[in-house]
Amino acid sequence: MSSVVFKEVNKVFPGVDGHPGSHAVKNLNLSIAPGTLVTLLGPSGCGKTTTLRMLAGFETPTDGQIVMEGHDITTTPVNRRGIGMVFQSYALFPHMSVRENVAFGLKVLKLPQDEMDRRIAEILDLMQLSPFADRAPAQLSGGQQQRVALARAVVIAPKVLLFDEPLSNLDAQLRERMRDELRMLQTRLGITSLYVTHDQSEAMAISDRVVVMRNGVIEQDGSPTDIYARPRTAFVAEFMGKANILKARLLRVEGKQAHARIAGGDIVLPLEDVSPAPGDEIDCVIRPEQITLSADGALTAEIQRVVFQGGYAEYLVNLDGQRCSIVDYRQHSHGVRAVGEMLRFSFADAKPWPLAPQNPAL
Amino acid sequence: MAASTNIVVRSGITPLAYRVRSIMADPWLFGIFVLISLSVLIFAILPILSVLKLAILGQEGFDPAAIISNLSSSMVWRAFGNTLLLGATSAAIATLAGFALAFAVARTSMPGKRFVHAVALLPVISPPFVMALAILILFGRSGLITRELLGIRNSNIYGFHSLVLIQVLAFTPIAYLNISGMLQSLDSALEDAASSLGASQWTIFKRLTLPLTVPAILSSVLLVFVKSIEDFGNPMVIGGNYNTLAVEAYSQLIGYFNLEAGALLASLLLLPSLLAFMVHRYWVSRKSYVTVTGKPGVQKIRIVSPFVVWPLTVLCYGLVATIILFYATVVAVSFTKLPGIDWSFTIDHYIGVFSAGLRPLQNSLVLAGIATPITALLGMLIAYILTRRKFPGSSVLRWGTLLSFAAPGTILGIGYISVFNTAPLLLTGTAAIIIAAMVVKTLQVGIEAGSNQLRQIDKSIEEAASILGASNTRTFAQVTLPLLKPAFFTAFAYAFTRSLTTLSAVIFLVSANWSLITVTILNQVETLRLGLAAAYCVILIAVVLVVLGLMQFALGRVANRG
Repeated sequence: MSSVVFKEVNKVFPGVDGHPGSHAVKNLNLSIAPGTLVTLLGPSGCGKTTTLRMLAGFETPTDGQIVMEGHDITTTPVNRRGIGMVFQSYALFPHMSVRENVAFGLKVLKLPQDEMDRRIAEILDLMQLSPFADRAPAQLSGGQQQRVALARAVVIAPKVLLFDEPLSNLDAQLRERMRDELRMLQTRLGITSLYVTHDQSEAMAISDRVVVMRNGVIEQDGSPTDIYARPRTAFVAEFMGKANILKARLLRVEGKQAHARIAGGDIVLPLEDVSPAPGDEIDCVIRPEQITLSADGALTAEIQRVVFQGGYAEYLVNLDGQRCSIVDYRQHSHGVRAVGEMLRFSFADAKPWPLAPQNPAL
Repeated sequence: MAASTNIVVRSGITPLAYRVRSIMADPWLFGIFVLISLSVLIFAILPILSVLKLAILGQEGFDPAAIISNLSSSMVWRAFGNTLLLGATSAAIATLAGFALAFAVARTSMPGKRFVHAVALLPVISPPFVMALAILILFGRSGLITRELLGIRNSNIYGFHSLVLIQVLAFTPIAYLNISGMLQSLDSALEDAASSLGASQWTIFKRLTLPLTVPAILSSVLLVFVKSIEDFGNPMVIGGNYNTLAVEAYSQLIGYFNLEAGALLASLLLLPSLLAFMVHRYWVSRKSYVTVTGKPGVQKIRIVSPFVVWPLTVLCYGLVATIILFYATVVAVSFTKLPGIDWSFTIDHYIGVFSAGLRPLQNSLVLAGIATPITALLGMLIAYILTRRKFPGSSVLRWGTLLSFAAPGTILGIGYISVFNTAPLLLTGTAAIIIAAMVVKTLQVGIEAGSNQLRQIDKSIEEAASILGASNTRTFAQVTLPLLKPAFFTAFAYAFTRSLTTLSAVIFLVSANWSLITVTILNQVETLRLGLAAAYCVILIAVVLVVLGLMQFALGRVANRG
């Protein structure tokens, strides 16, 4: 049984003062298995935050049902849901110490004092916050504040834990560390979690399952590896990371495989969701890192732009009128190429993935 | 997206049902909301409506002839014209002076800014007619300057010119605070940008600073205008034959017992006041370019040219010197035997106050002391209800409190005596009616301060409390209210100062048992016991200063602890 189920949930924000309303979430169906972390991923305005806030109880669905552990909680008030939440701004109570922040939810539960003290000490210890227990939030670093927010949310032993872009206020290095800490805590406590972010690398690193949303609709739903390797649409392909979307001409179909050619390079496409015929042109995704630079490659193209990224160099080439990005992780040994040089490469190692025809409605 | 918004609600959570649920989620808060709304209805809306009704229907029923005869009286229109002329003149001059002060303090290298700032704020905390008292002593028939220095025998200081001077001195601080707030919140990077594009100081001022402060300038004009036409003490003392609506309404009511004429005059007073207020709220405040970020930008002083700084300095110090002269005069006179005749030193007036006349001061302190915490707490509660919760019918609360603030004290006072004269609301002559007037008249400032503060408090802090299981009532008490502390103290300070120094509304409400210090001072001035009046004024100002100082101290300690 799933911990959380959204059934046909819609959310319409009515227009105010002449502003048009918006249909933020459309016929959403989603279930979250117990103990797993599911991430809602998408650009701003895709409905991911609205979905999270409906589960929290800050928004009420216009239509549909939300079920948590078998109970319909669609209209249950926020404070009776037993959900924990970590906010983007942390939302620590600025007039309370770290300890008082953590104790707040326990006091509402009216736990006996010794039980309360024990749980506070435990979580502060776990989060390495014990030395700061009597400080005000303003006296803590960003990472420490983040940990207090997390401690405050999990100390009440919530049924579900919600994360609203919790790492977006941290700088890049700290963000990765907190991301790992967060995931470790979540797996250790086994709390069912819903996580919202617009950062695809964060989503892939932290999730059991990623749900990509766009314009209020789920675009794709699957494991991080699955979504990265087998995107259903160009939107998902590009949102999940750098993607070359190239037109391939189908040569012949053999069962679940198709042989095709892109600008003189031969590829083999798996046919699972699509069923094209020979002669068709089909969009397929080839990630930049799948293209092999080699002196005996079948393809050549002139470098039009070079972006040096430290760990690798990225070259942009024009492949029969199509933009194509190629990354070179070996630039430290043979040097970064210059604009105008010819690049030789092949699709020998590529795992191209065919895209379903674009839905014109989106 | 517009096309897709027409979805059919299938599973039956109607907006009404949701609203009922949201009310049931915190019955306490809703109960408080209903109680407050009812109080606002009774103590703010009802009195004003009753005055309007009196003006139109009279006590004996609708009588067009009586209204026409009242309206055709030249007295009414002269008072109306006088009031508007005085308001417009004071507003224009006070705003100019306020702008000069604010600009000099915020943008130039004028010396002694802290001093100028402190003196400029003095009129804010003093009773309305201290200035009138001072001008009477300085320039009156036996005035210190007119007679003693210049030997003028028949100087006439009563009338329009004196009123303008006094109101400008009294209301310039309002314009000053308003405009300097705006100047300080303008990002100085804008001026840097203009400068880097090659603009001269004059161009920057003309094309950037001035246009960006226009909302504050307009808002000052309107606020001073409202303050000026509402002013009762100064025109009463120094107006002479220059009658204004507030004074005329009072004399019709108290002098001739003509309730209808008083109500009519007060209603005429409400009109321009309400209009100015609406313009301010729905036009000027929407033109503001400043976004409140809650953190003041670093201001750079960029105007050091002596050709700008010195004229401004002379102007500012002239203003400051006049304010000091007026206050010093009042202090000096409180120690003078018989101003104009016997200038020898005495403490008789203070002995008089402390032996026989302490009662009004005690009354004022007790009533303001009761009204102030009520006002501050109510202000925070209403701000919270209006900005954070959506209860049905909250517009009554919003408009009621706004109306009570925009309505001149005169109409409120007359409204109170006409509404609370009969059972079941028989309050005339009690302390309660005065406290109610004090609360209603000062509530809006607390609401504004509270709302502004709330807008700067991240909403997710309260959401965090809710999701941790706290009810809305608990969230308000344990999270929101503590965070509103600065706004609470602003409301507290304003309510206390205004309640102690107010006159225009309470003059209709005082009784033998409950006389107030401001009314007592007015009586002393009218019977030309200027020394005694001055002594009362000095004590009143001292009390206000001490209380504000104590509050500052308390707030500082609270801040240090956190």
